[in-house]
Amino acid sequence: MTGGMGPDACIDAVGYEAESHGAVGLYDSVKQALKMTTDSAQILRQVIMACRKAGVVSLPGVYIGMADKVPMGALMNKALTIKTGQTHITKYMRTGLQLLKDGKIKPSEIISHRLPIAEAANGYQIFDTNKDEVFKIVLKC
Amino acid sequence: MKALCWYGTRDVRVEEVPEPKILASDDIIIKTSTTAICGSDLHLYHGTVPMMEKGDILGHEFMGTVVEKGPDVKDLQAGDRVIIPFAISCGRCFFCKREYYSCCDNTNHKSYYSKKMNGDATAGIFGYSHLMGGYAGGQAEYVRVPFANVGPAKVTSGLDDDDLAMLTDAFPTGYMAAENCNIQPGDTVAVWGCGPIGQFAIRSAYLLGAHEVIAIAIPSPAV
Repeated sequence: MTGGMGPDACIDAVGYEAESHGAVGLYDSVKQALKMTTDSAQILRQVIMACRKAGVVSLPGVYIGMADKVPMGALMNKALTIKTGQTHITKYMRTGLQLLKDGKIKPSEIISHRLPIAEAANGYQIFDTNKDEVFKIVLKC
Repeated sequence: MKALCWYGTRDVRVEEVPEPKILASDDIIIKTSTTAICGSDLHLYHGTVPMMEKGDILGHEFMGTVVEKGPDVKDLQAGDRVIIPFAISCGRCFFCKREYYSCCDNTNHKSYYSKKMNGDATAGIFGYSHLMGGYAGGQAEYVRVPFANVGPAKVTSGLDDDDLAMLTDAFPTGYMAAENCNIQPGDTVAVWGCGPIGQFAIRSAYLLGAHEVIAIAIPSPAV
């Protein structure tokens, strides 16, 4: 799909609570449990390794603290650009509002559950345990 | 009023708590109509975010109707329907003037701890620990919204609550992630994670001109 070059840009929309797999995953889990590191770097490593030379790595995250074993050599030598940050939401909420008014997006399509606010705690449990094909929960007041 | 309060790891409860009051002259109070649970709320639920206190009200994706306003609030009136950005911005600091709103210098009052951790503090966020300002969150029947001349956007009745609530964090976060990719015609963008942010990043990458988007996720029934 990329002619063997790798994607022009890679987005890590998983972040620091990435599930750990394999030997490196075990290493991350142990270090997190021992409070020697805070953030799982599983996906961060993958996006850096996969991205094509001179490409962009975009990290909506979230990351909160220290990440371990980040492939700095790949990042530097492949001339990658990292773009990240908490969303500048005061600006981008208005971008979204215009796209909605123009009929370009229908963001409610991701909502799987609508619950009254009184059932909010139950909502967290459903979301956390991935029950009932949950995807996005809204609460109604 | 009813509010979702945090008590510890996997311990959140809906409780009766006092309603918020106007504290600054540019505050508004809104009556919440719709609020969402964000994936990042699960980080609080899992107890991995520092500086949480028992009884903290969670929630940063919310919208509703203005019920009260301070004397210095200009363009909003009681009865206006508004959507509220998840991060609070002053609108006049170095960063806000350059539209780096999440880097606002004036809305994270307990920023000492943030400065220790990160070298500097970022903007306050509703319902997201005392590290992020200790603001009461939006998973409640009423919410105090500070700096109301900056963040809130008035919306008309023709638009649906469920669409609008997704604009307070989830959609724009996916959109900014895609915009940050500086997409050129013919580009291929790969997205790891197909939760709400990933889905919106995929959609936005196409809107911004990507030729192809590759989605990468561990299969789950919902995806």
